Amino acid sequence: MYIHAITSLIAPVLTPLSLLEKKYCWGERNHKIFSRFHKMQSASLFADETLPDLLSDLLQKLRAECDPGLFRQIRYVAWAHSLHATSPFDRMEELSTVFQTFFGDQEIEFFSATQASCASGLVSLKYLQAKMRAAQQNTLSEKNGSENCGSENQASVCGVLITGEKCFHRTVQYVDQNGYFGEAFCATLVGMTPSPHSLHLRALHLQQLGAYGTRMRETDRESENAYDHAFLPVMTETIQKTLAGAGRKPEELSAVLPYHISPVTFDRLADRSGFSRDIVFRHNLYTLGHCFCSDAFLNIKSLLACGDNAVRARCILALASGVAGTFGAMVLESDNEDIP
Amino acid sequence: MSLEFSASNILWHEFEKNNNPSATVESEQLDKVKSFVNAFFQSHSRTCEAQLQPVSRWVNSQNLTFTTMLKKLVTQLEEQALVNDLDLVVLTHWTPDAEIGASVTNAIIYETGSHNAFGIAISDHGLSSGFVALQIIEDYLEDISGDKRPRKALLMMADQDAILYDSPYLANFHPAASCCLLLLQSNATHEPHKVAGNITFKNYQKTSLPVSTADIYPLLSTLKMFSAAENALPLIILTSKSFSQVLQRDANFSGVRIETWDDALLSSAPWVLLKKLAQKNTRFLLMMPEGKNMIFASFVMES
Repeated sequence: MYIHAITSLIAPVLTPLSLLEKKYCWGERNHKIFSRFHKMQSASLFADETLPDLLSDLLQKLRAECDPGLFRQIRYVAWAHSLHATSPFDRMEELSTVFQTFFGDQEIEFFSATQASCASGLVSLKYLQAKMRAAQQNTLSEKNGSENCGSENQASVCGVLITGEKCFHRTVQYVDQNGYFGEAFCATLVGMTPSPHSLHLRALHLQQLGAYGTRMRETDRESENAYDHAFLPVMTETIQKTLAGAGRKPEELSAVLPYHISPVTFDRLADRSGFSRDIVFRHNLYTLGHCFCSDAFLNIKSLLACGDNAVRARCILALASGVAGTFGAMVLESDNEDIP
Repeated sequence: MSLEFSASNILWHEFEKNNNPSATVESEQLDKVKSFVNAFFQSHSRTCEAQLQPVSRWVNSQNLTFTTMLKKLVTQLEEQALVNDLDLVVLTHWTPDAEIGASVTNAIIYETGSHNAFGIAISDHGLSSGFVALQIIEDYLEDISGDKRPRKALLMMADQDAILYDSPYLANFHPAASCCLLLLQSNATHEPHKVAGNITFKNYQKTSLPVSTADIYPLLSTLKMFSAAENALPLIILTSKSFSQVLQRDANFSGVRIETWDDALLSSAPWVLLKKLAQKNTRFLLMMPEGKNMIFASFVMES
């Protein structure tokens, strides 16, 4: 699968840490940890815009930025969210209609992928990959003359992954000692055939610490300690399996894209996994906040847009982690010789 | 690849209706949930205020989370089938869970011991989420079946009878907290391993809602929900109460057996009825209108 393009929506003016402290009243200890230990500076927050406003703005921006040919091929839309429900219950059907109307296709398939917390974005990519491979396979079967109920010519279909949520309540504003959330949205356009400047998804691996599926509700100190101890080994294993799937070694990586919480974690992962701390891409790490499922996609976009050719990477590892025990990693590679 | 399941591996449960606010919930907890609901509405430019009764009822329902509900069925399933070798665990639901921040799929993966399974939850797809889930399961299992060995998936449906705020739309269904699961097996070849009594998933389709009732019957013939050979088998249409009335008014359907599921069971409803009606040498067509679409899933149970 290929990532063709990423449209992002980030607050035009970032909210500085001093204002976040006043807004959230997170206490002196948290403030010291966030500012001095984690070196966090600001967050992307849209103070006045509602979630439907932001979704609409993102879609308009996608239309403006997207190659018209690829835009017409969009058949699948998945919204990955961390919260179990981002829209009022009676708005659910409306949400599907929003996408159908916007893409001008009454039969567009839309659903949300949830419950892998902030790793739901990578879970959705895995769905889109399987979906589009199946569409490709259907086309091949059709060409070979075999019977295939309901198949249609879908060789060049595209999918869109939507990510991003609102920090509307204490539950989704900050995590003691670890960091705070941010509001930034992405529409990631994916397809099965390469396009100029597309990134090839070489490997995507997800694994779970299933025992912690309900830790947000039922937990204790012993269980939390066990989770903390398990975190680095399991994420390291996830990275190793992903690299193995891509046929790459840690030293071949040119950039590692973190998610925006507990920045020191990525130095520890670098040391354990065998890649240099210097290749951890820190462009958004201290400035946007943890934008739920969007972090990986915001960072891909920033990395590719970066003026420094040394930073514009050829082999990228992006990470995601879900609070209820989901660990995800993917390796992306630039196949385009025209990218320096 | 074919995807099939046995009617005996469809398990379901309806829980006691939970219509009473709990007297034991502390006001501090209620205030926290009310503040969440108010902020949630505000983030959608809604001016409604959280109401004590739905909030209290929802807090009360937290004893019956999706995980709690589904674990009960998984325990039952373990008595009749091996479930520690699942490749995929899928949760679908219409109403939100009574637990925020949980991963039901992770919890069930842990419960079954299928530690290498991939988990995905499908939300915001309405009552037909189980239909699209079958297509997702088929696509995913096909994607990973390079070695051609049979694969296993667990499809789970769950719904609450209470949400955080009043919803007249939901109330119309007289909902019951309910859950259902299906243990599915894929076979890598196009010719399914014929297991007596197994139901084979044939097709999933989503179309625009027909303009009039008279357009429904002609639409069915264009969808290719079954192969030419399968079309010789008797057909049973399974649908909601209101849509079965629409179909029965159309003379084209006068010779077709139409069965109605119990709407109160929400996402589980079609599967509960399919289990009940499973019989050999029969085609089953599940259909329901959803928003501006018609959603279809077809199955065949051969001898």
